[in-house]
Amino acid sequence: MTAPAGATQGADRDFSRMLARRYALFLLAFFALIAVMAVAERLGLPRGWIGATFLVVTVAVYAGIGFRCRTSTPVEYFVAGRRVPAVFNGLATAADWMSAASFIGTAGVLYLQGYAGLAYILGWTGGYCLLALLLAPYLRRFGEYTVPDFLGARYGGQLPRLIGAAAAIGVSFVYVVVQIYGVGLITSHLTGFGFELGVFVGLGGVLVCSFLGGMRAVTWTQVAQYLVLMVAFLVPLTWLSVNQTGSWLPMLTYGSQLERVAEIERSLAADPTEREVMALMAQRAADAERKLLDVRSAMLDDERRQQELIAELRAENAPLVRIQRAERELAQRPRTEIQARRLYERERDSALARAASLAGMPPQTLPFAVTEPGVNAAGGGSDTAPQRFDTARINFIALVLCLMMGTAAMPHVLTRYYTTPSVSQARRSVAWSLFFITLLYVAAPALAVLVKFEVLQHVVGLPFDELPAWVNRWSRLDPSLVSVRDVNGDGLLQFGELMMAGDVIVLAAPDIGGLPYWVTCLVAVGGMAAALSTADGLLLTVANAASHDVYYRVIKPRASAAARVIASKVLVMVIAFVAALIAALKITDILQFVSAAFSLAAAAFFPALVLGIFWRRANRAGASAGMLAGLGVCGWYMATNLPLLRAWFGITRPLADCQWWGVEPIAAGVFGVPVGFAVMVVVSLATAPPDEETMKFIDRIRLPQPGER
Amino acid sequence: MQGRGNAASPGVSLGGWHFAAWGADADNAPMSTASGHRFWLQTRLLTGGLLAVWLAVNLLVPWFARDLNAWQAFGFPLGYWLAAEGALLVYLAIIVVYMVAMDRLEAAYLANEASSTAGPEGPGPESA
Repeated sequence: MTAPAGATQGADRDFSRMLARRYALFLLAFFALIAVMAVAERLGLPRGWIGATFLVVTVAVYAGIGFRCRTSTPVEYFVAGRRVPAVFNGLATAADWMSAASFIGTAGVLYLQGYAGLAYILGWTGGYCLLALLLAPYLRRFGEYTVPDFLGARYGGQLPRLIGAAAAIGVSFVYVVVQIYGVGLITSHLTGFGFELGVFVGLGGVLVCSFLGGMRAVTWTQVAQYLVLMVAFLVPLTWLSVNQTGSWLPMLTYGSQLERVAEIERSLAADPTEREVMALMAQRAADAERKLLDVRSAMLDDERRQQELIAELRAENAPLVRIQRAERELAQRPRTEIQARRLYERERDSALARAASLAGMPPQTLPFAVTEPGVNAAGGGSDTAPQRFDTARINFIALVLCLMMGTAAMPHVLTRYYTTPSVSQARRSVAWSLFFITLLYVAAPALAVLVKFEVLQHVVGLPFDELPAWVNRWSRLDPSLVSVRDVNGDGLLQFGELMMAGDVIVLAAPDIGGLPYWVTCLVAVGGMAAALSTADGLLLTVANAASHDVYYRVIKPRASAAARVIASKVLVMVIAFVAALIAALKITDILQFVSAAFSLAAAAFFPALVLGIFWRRANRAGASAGMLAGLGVCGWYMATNLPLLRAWFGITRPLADCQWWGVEPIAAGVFGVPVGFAVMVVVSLATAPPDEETMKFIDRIRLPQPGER
Repeated sequence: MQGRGNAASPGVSLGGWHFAAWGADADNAPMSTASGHRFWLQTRLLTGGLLAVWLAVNLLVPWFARDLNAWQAFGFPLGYWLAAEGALLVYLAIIVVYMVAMDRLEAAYLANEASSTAGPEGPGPESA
C-alpha cells in the first residue's frame, strides 16, 4: 500500500502484484476469523462476544490501513497519488458505490415489490455505461482533483464551480447522514450499545479511515471493505441455496425457486383463510376511514378503550409484559388532532394495502402488477387498470433513467476515476467497477427469492405458539420491522398476518434460514462495511468541495498545499460530527431525501458535464443557467410531491394535480435533466461563444495526448 | 468562432450566427490535425452507437416485460431474467467493447500523430 511515487510500467505491475498478495492475505485472515467465530459459537461463546469480536476486528483492520496510509501531500490526499490500478480502483468504486441501502435495502425492496424493485438493479448498474462512455475518461484526461474543478476549468469564472460545489455538498451530505445512521443501527444491533452511542462509535470508524490519509487511505480501506461485504452477502445466500436446492451457484439456478414461489403465491391467492384476513383488513381500513371523519371523538374513544383494556388486563392478572405494552401504547397515543389524523391515515393505508392478496405484495415475477385496490378505494375498478399499468411502466422506466443519470453524476463516484494512472486505465476501471457491482446486484434478487421461499414454505401456516424465534426477537426489537398478529383468530399464521419491513430481509436472512448466529454477525459486519465505505467516500467529497473548490479556488487562491490538506482534514472532522449529530436525531423521514439525491445530482451535473465535453458551444452562462434550472425543476417537483416537503411548505393542492404524467417524485430527474439540457442549449446559443482558451481546453480533453499511455 | 472553424476544417464549419454553430459544432473543431477530426468523429460514432444499444435495452426490457415473461430463459421467466441479469450483462458488454475499441482508436491516433504521415490506418469503430 506504500509504493514509490512516479511508478513506471514495470513498477506498476509489481505494485499490482503486491496489492493482490496483500488483499489475498487479508481475505484469508478474514476467512480464518469467520472459522474461529464459527468454532467459538459451537464451544459456547456468548453471542454478544461474537458480534463484538467481528465488529472490533474488522474496524481495527480498516483503521490500521487508514493509519498506514496517512499523508499530507495534496496529490496523495485528494486523488491517492493517481496510481490506483484499474482492478483495485474498480473494487474501491464498488465499495464506495454500494451503500448501506444497496446492501441491506435492495433485497428487501425486491422481496416486497418483486419486479418493481428491479428498477434499482437496472438503474444502479446501467448508469456505469454513461459514466464510462461520457464522463470518466474525459475527467481523467483533465486530471485535476474534483468535479467542480472541471466545471471551473471548462466554463471559467466562479459561478459554475460554486453551483457545482454547492450541489456536491448538498447531495453528498444528505447521503452521508444516512450512512452514519446505518452504521449506528448496525453497531447497536451487534453490541447492544444505545443507538446514539452506536452512531458515535461508527463515526470513529469513519474518521479513522478518511481523516489521516484522505483519498489514499479511503481507497485502500474500501478495497478491503468490498471483500468483506461481498463475503458477507454471498455466505448466507449460498448457504440458503444449498439448503433449498443443493446448488452452489444460486444466481444461476434460483429460477427453480422462483417457480415454486410463484406456485405458492397462486395457491395463497385462492386460500380461504387468506381471503378472510383480507376481508378483515378491508374492515379495518373502513374503520380508520370512519375515524377520520371525526378525529376528535375517535381520539377520545381510543383513549378510553385503551384504559379499559389495561384495567381488564390488570383484573385478569395478565403477564406484566402485556400490561406494560398496553400502557406504553397509551402513553404513545397521539396528542394533537394532526398527529391523530396522520396515524389514522397510516392505519387506513396499511390496512388497505393488506386487504389486497399476498398482503399487498405483487407476485414475485409479475411486472407492473396493478393490484386491485381494497374495498371502496376511491378510483378503484377495472376500467382504470390499463391506464395504471401504463403509469407503472412509465414510472419504472423514468426511475431507471433517473437512477442511471444520477449514478453517472454522483460526485463521489466521479472523483474515483481521477485516481487511476491513465485514461485507458480509467476506462478499464469502470468496467471492473461494474463487474464487481454486478456481482452483488445479481445476488440481491436471488436472496430476496430464497428468503421469500423460506417464509412461504416454512413459516406461513405455523401455529402462533410454534413460530420460529426470529419472529419474536425482531418484533420485540422494533414492531415496525417485523410484526405478526392473529387477525382472523384461527391460531395459525396467514401470509397476510405477517408484516416484514424491507430492511430486515437481509439482516434477518440467516435467522430466517435457520443458520448459526455467526452468519447473522457476518451479515451485520458486511452492512457495516458497506455503510462505512460509502460514508468515507462521501465525507471526502463534501470536505474537498468545501476546502478545495470553495476555500482554495475562490476564497484564498494562494493557500499553500499543506494548508489545503489541513483545511480538508479539519472539514472532514467538522462535517462528520455534524452528520453524526443529525443522524443521532433519528429523523427517519430523511430516507425521502436520499432517493431524491439521485435526481438532484443528475439535474445538477449531468447536462453541464456532458455538454461541456461534447458540445463546444456550451458556455458559462448556459452551464450556470442549465444547472440552476435543472435543480430548480427537480426541487419544485419534489417540494410539491414529497409528503414531508409538502407539509413543510404547506402545500395543499391535491397530490394528483401536482404530478406530471403520474411520475413519482423519486424520479424527478427525468424532468430536471431535459430542462437542464434545454436551458443550457438555449442560453448558450443566446450568449457569446466560449473563448479561444476554452477551445484549446476542449481539444485537450477530447484528444489523447502524446505520452499519456 | 468562424475563423477558427474554417481554418481547421473548411467546408464543414459555417460562419454566421450561433445557430449555425450548433449544427456544425461537431466538426468545426479547431483540432490541430485531420486525424484529430477523424479520431473525434470515430469516438462519437462509437459512443452514439453504444448508447443507442444502452437506451434500447432500458426502454424495451421494461416496456415489454410482461409479454417477454411468456418465454423462459435458463429456468426464469424471460422478462424477469432480462431485468435481473440479462441487461446487466449487456451493460458490462457495452463498457468492455468501448474500452477495447477506444484503446485501439487512441493507439492508432497517437501512432499517426507520432509519424505524422498523411494516411492514418486506424481501425474504425466497427472493427471492435
